[in-house]
Amino acid sequence: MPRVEVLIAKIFASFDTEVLAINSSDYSVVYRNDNFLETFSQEKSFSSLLDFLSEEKKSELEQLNSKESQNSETPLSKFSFEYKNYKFSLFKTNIDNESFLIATRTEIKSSEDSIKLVESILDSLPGGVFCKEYSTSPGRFVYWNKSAEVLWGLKKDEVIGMSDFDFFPDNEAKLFQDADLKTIRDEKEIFIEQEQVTSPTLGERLVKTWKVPLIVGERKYLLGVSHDITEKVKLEGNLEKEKARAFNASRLASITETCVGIAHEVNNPLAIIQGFNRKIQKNAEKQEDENTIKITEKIEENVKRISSVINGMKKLSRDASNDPFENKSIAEIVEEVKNLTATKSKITGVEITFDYNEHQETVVECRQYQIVQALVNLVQNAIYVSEEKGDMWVNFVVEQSSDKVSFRIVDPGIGIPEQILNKIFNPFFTTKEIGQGTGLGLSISRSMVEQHGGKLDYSLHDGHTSFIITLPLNQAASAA
Amino acid sequence: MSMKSILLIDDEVELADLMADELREAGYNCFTSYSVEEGIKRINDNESYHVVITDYKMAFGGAESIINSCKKNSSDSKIIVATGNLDLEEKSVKEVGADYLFVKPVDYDKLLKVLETL
Repeated sequence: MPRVEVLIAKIFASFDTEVLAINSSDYSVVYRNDNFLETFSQEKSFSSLLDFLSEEKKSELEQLNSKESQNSETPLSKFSFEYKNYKFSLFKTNIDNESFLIATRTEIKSSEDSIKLVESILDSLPGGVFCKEYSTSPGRFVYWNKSAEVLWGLKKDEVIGMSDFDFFPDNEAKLFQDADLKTIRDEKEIFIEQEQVTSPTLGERLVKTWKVPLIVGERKYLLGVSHDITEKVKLEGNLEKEKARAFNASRLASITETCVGIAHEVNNPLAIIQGFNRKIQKNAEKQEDENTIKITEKIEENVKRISSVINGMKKLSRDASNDPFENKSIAEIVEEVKNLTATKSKITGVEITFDYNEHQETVVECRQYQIVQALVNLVQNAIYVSEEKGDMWVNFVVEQSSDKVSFRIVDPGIGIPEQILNKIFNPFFTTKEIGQGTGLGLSISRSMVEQHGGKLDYSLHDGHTSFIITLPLNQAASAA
Repeated sequence: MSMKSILLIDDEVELADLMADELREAGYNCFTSYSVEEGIKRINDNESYHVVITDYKMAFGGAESIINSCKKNSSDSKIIVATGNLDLEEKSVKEVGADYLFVKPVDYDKLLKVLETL
């Protein structure tokens, strides 16, 4: 190689920029300097300038090149092209009647554009995207997209640099941080199906969240994407309740129908037994046959029992949700509960203690049969527990305040396990074996009580499982 | 003082007889019919009863036909419906023209009390 050429090559090589020499007639690349080779070492070996250009640029190049006169000002000097983040300018030069194009990289396009692009992509995502840096504890927000602003009702400016504890209740913030730390520690993404977030501006929301660990050099980040599922969960809850209500209604309807049918068939013969029994009784009375009188009294009593059982089943199974609210005394309500649970108590041997004498006269405005159904339901559950435990007692206690009355049903159970506690009022939740229970009792009872502006709650009472129904004494007070 | 007369209609023969015995013992002049047809015939034969006690649902009709016959004969008999049907409500029985509803097995003490007032 002639010395001058070597020199030129060395000069180009010493440039702190990427340089290409191109044959202007066929655009083949004839020279690449070291910088070029280094910068684009990963790329395919560009053998032609055309490899760098879009169709548009290609035709622009052709146009300018054809206008190029041998000696005058070079239109091609206006030509520039971009490849990746690199911008190249061209000039033309002639050597021995052969023309060459020299392309030098003039600038590296700022990476800000690409950051902006990424940000606008993130901002237009439907999920709330956030990123916390965990070089400190608690982790602090370094990123917060537009959807996150909407989802949590917090502006990016107020969030960046702050931690969960600055916005959310401590117990929630702690849960978030715990999940973050686990994600980062395990270096494994997690999906949280449902979590509650109490926004300072929007109140309680339910979200589902993906958490992904990001480790950049020494720094650890937590990337999160959350979606608001509040409405969806609410809708599903309503749907489930509606399903339970419909299921229960049809179940009750069929029980009612059966009871009515049985009653019709049974009541006539029962009336005949009753009639003949009265005859025997009257004869015995005439003959002062005490023994027979006693027997007939027993028969009479049991005839009444049969008819009250059937009657009771019917009362218990009817849909009382459209009954009018009426003033009923505690005595009337409790007597009905007593009647309707007497048989079960007798059969199982579980003794029910009713403690309500002080409040007999108290009057409650209610749909009596809804309340009776709810109470009988709780008593039946309690009897079931007593039987299971082999500890045969149930307490039924009435308490009263100025505007409320409460019915507490206590059984020998020692409380409901924590892990199922939040499910017991869900429709179709049951711990009984398949076929033993519908899982509707508590949910339907609660909804009936709520229709009265009352509450049905679980609590531990002296170490025993108890359920309490609290009712306002009158409906106007509860509606106010 | 003449005894109050009662017409008792029930297609359950034994039951009708038993109830009639009870009522007679209590001092009423009680007649029985074992079918709707028979009951209507008695009412049409212009016997005016103080009280008509009738089953609600019987073969070939029920309490409604009995009540209609009473009305047709412009009798002022009081009507008591005695039924084994738990689905009946006092309100709906009164709508078809009855004065009282009793569910079988009838509570005789209550029934006799009601009869005294009629």
